[in-house]
Amino acid sequence: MKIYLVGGAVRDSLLGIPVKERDWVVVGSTPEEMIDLGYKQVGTDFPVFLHPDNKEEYALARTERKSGQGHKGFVTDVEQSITLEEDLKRRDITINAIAKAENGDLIDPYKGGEDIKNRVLRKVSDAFQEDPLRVLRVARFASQLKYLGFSIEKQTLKTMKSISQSEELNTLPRERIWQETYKALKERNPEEYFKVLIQSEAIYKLVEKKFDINLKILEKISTEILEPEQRWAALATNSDCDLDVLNRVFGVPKKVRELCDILGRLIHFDINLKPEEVRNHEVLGLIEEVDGLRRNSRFIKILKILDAYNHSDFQLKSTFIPWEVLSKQLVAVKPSSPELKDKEVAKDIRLQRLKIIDQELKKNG
Amino acid sequence: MANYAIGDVQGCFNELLGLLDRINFDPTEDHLWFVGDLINRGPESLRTLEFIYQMKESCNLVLGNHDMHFLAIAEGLRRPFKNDTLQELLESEKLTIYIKWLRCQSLLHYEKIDCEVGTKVYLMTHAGIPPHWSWLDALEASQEIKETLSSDNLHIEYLKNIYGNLPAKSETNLNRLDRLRLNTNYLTRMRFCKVDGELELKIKGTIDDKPKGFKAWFDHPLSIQNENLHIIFGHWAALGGKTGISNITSVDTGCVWGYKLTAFRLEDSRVFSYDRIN
Repeated sequence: MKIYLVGGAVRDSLLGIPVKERDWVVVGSTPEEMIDLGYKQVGTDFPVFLHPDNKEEYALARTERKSGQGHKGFVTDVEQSITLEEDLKRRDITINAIAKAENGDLIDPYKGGEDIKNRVLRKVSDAFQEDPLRVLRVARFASQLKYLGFSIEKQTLKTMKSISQSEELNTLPRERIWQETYKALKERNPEEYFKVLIQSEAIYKLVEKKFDINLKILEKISTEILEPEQRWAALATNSDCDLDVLNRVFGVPKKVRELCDILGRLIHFDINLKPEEVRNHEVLGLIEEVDGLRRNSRFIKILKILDAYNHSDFQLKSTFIPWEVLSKQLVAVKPSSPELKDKEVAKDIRLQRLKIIDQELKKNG
Repeated sequence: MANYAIGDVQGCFNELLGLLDRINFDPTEDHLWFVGDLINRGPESLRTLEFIYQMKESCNLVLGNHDMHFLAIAEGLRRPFKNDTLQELLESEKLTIYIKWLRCQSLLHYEKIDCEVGTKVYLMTHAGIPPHWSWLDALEASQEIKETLSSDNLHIEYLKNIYGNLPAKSETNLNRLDRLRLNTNYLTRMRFCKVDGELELKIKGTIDDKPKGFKAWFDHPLSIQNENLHIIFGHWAALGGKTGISNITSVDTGCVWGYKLTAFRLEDSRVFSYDRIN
């Protein structure tokens, strides 16, 4: 048996950027042999093993043949006779289809090295179009590598479009879509992911109608907002598209949907108000409804998005209410006297909080 | 920087300017506390309101009965009285702005102030605080009114409802509208009452005109009172600015009735005044 380093690790080391994780391909072996050697089998769809010591992933070389719809509609073959070249051929883009032997030799039958040099994202073969997930994956690689000058090769983009026009995309589980989206949102240019989804028309298939998504906002705020959940909220809340539809299509989990909801409410709270028309009880009501006092750190994280909007050049109507200063002061309120009865304490704290809101609003008036 | 409590202006705009000049008012440093009744009966309601609106960042104000009356007229719920002087204001193109602004004001304002004799809490309402109210009662009552009056859904019902002298005192099981009317009367119209808060709203005049069994509200022992609290009010011009009680100050000195407009400096309790012109 022979073992090769493959995928992202080879690509990233050739690019000279930090390697995140290392994946290996094992050629000329069998599951039984791997288990005998002490590897622990993990995959269920195809045999993947964890190294007994370093827990890195080792997969038996395999081929895949389309047998049905979607990302999982494949028959895999892990015959001992399958070659490294055959295994590399089933991969998505050429820069991910380079292998490195134990002696350091590169095996690069699909000229991934050349594409790295030329900064091109190119499909390995026509089998590319068999898996709809690849549209999202290529979009994600674009978001990851844009800053190095990568762009998608024409024919590959065309193939992505034809996948988008088929019904295949809608067979992807929403959780899987969110997984790719979430990874892309962590990257340096998250807006590029969505740009590619638009160029490849995938997004229109997913959302089922034309709409505007505010990529400039995402690009701007991403320089100071690094968490993917907040980046999503910043994007989704400011796009000309039904928020619920967007969240559903991208499989956005409840936790992140809540962020969107809170952000939206904060943005819209004082949109038609003059400073002197802001009601103290409505400010307190909103903060309490979004649990901004009990979960103050989450609330403050959301407020950072509003700051980022303000720092960006966009003339977004943003709130003039000093939510962060306010919420911190409101959290700190203690009963004004130890002699208050239980029933009075809640009243007293509420009235103190309303007073603080009045004072802060006045300062900002 | 200083804080000045100013008595009922009631549209006496020139006297207000004269008084501010006398105290060397600096809008970037000083704060004005208006005890309400900014407008009506005097000659220049519009200019007075315009002026205070433009300086609103340096002003704290509480609403008085005349301000409420104006809101009710402006909303088409009442007709002006013969001696009202609100017409010019009602025809102003900025009327809706002023209405909205006034509707968002309080009936009670308080703040800690560092005075020469130490820190005091100053509390201002238009008419006073009834004897039976605790600190929390006062804050709660004024907050409920503020929430109602500032609400786009509730303010009409509220302004329709506040006219009337009954109920005369707090009882358990008062319904919401009766409670709002009574509390509005306490904060904007009260003069004489009993120690349990029973109001007598028909009698005006001086302290000596008190009806049998009633006293000026501040002549009762007040539940809210403590050594650091200083109450400021207006509304009752016939008192001539005197209550006889050191930490309860009346600043209405009847400017609109031909006397003078008064400013009370919170930091050192110094009184400034400006006589009615003519």
